[in-house]
Amino acid sequence: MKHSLTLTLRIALLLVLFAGTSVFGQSTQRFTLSGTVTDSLTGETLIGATVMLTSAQRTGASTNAYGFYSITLPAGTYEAQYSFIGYQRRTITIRLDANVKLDLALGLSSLTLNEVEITAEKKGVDLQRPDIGVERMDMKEMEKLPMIFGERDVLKAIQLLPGVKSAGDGQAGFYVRGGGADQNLVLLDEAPVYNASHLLGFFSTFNSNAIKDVQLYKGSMPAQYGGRLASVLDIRMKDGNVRKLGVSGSVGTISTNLTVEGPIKKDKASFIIAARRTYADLFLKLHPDPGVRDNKLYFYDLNAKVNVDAGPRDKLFLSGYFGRDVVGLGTTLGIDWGNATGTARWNHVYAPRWFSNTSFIFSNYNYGVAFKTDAHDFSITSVVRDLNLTHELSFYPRPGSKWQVGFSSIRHTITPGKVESSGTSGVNAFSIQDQHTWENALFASWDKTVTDRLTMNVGLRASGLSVLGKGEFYTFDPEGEVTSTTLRGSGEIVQTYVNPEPRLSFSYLTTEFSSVKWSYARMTQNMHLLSNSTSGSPTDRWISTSNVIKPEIGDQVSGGYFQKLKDGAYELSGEVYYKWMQNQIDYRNGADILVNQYIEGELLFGQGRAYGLEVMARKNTGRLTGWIGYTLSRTERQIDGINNNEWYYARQDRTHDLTIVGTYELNERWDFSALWTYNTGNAVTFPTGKYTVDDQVIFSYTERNGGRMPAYHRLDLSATWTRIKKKHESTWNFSLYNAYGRENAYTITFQQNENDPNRTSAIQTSLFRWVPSISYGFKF
Amino acid sequence: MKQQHILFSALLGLALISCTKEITLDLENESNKVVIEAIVSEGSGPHTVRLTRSVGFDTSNDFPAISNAIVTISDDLGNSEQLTETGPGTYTTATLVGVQGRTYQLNAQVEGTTYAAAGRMPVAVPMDILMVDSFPSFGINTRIIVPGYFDPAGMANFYRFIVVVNGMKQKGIILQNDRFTDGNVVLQPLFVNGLELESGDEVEVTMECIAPEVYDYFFSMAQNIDNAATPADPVSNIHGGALGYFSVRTISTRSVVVP
Repeated sequence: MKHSLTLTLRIALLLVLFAGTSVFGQSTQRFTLSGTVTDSLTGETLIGATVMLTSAQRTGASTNAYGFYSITLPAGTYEAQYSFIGYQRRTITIRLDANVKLDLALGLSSLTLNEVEITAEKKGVDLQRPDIGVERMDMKEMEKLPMIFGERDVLKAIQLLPGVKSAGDGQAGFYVRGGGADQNLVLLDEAPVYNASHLLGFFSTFNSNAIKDVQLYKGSMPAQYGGRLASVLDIRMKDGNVRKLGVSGSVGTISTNLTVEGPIKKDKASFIIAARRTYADLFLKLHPDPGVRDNKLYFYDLNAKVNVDAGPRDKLFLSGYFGRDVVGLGTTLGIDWGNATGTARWNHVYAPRWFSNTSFIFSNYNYGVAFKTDAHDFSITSVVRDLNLTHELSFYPRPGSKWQVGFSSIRHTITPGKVESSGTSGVNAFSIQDQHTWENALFASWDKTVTDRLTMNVGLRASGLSVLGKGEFYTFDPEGEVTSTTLRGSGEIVQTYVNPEPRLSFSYLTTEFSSVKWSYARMTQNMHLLSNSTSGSPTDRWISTSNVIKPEIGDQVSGGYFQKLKDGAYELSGEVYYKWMQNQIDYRNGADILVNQYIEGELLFGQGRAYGLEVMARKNTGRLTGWIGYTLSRTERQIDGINNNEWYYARQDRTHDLTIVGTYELNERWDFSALWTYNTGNAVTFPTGKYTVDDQVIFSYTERNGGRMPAYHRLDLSATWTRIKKKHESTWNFSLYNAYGRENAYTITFQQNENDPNRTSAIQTSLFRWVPSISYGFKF
Repeated sequence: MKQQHILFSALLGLALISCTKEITLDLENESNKVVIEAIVSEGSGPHTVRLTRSVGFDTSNDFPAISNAIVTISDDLGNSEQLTETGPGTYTTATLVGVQGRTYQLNAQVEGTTYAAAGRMPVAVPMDILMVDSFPSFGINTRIIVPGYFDPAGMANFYRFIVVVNGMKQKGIILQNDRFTDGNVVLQPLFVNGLELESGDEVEVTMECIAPEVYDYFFSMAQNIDNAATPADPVSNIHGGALGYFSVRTISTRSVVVP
């Protein structure tokens, strides 16, 4: 701790020095060009569009998450070039003799003549940005990829990137660079989503029709993000078309979804509503037997957003998500779970160089289990709730320099389990006390172009977590038995943890077409998920840092080399990373994590390490586009009390992971795509021996995760037919998941051999072979 | 939440076309661990201790018995008895009596190694009724077994059930505790995996009142069977590195014929 504090001080000093050089030395008069970049048809703001000013020297800026840009230059005349991937480039001459506000709309390149298309911006990595381990998912590219169940899924698309691994066959859950499933911060319009999957993990909670932008940070996290060790998945919803009313939707094999968007007041205010529901269960309703008819299995979700342009300096956004999964077995058993999030945001431009955003964020995840028979009538409910106030101020003092400072204050409340019961039931009402914590963070981040070749981002996040009453707080002996109990009053601070989290990244252009990048980031995590199921369950328990559970700490160093070939037509990149993790959590053998008051006594704490190499080759232009990504990695844990205190492979440790994705554009109508993925099987614990007690054959185990699941591979194919008319666009997508019918192991169980009861067999269960699906999409 | 697990498996089976096949895995084979299964029930016995060894995963289910061990059980009143080997690996008492509230000490010497365990016999809770109820599930009226008992208030109680249908002991581990049912009339159904009862079947249920550490042992064993992400050997109450358990328990048995 002492070491990291001195390091922090040094960084702070460095920041002040650099800041000094940029503040002093202003001589000629400077003016600011600022504004918003939008799509010319829909009025949607464009995130990450670039503005390049050409004069004596090239300088530029890019738009932030709200489409805002600001650049301050000495008085003069400039050529300003606005560009964005997939859009026509626009060049405008600007006389900067006063502050200029210029809101600019860009047109889609595909809607224009071929000769114009040549000037359209190509996608690709920005060599000069100091971000390493950052991936932006291109929503248009995603539309061409094969699907499963006729459902487009952002989380499944990001699993195709190096360093990101699927949680299992057909699963939406993912692991990033050796982190656990709960170590990904999944944000929807800044609101954390605690359970990002539907229907036992086979679908993500994100309706891709309502999504504008997806960014995944797996290496250098900017200082404004915090709270999870492994990654940040920042998903931004569309704002809604401010020009005209539009309806779009899709009908797939499993679900239907419909999106309506349009202006409330033209060019001033707009809305979007996107709804989705699965309908497999509707067929159950047709069944004559009530025992079948009364069963339920479905999910639905709703995204809604309103945005209002409240004047030249202000913009307001209100967005929300509500999703629910419902599973019911007749009238006897019902389980439902889901997330609700809400975000109210206010963008304010104090001055052309000062942009601010204030957000008030709500997030709620809950589940309920209801059980009803003649003798019993009870329910169990559990809730995780966050209230969050965040303020962020961006300052653009001069080209090549950008400051972001702000704070975030989150109040977490967890109701771990509450049992309610009717009077006649044999079950007593019971409740585990709520867990209250208050998480605060202050952050400052500085992007600076040091020389023509060297750019950097220096940031510091100071995060604090206070454990609050009211409640009983326990201490435990090494065996996990309670040794003392302290009662604390409501709002009383029981303990506070403060962690400085330095973030540093550099990019150095070695040639015009290549660069090397390096970064270091420390992350901390105060919300932890306890799960002992193979595929994740809605009843997995979230638990906050407490007097017993320390904040998880992760330090990651990564370095990379990036190369563009043939003017950006091809890209090559290689990244290496090493990550240390402290205060990792696991639990004792036989721990009961459901509705347990003394859960902390069931936990064990230790450390983790993960390292790897990620290589990617991409082709960005031509009829055939796509990429090959390969990851070589290792992920290990060491926890006293597990595996004789020795290091063992984490479940998600997969040595090799290879993905090949290709899309071929045959003509204006037809696109074909294929993806092939291969990975080493998960590390799992297999039995090594057997014995008998209680007249049953019981397996014995030796090493934790010492076994391997068989290697996983599959090929997916798809064909997409698109027809664009003036006012109407329709697409058909035909997909085949697991085209060569590989029987991938979902689980392996061990049981008595059917032919010889004296022997034991390993039985593999596979789920998806040759899953065809059709989806029809429309837009008008 | 056993019910939930069953439901999820059922849904998975329904919603997806899954397939299974036998595969060959190259597993390590570890054998020859000492396995102790020692039980003291309420009453005069005879109480039995079985000593066997574990075998490698790939071998057949012939578990070698351990003979010539020195096995003693004593209680906290100073009664002690060395058990006689009445069959290969099976050691029985002649005089020792199991009484509620007494603590029993097990000591077994196997080839120079001593294994020891202790357990206190819990308060006996009798099963007062045994019924067969029906439960609609996916169009089939599944019959379920429901034992009934009065859980004593103000103390933690742990139960284990053994189901025998037409003389066949059913596989699986069925446990209940009174975390949510303290002091109540408890009528919680017993879920036996793969059991389909028919009219006329004879069902015999034995309810054991067991010690908390024995409950934990079976609970972790049940988690392994339910395909937990990270199975491990259950934490045994026997010191010295043996597999198995020492259970000091009371029992109560009832039978019913499925109507």
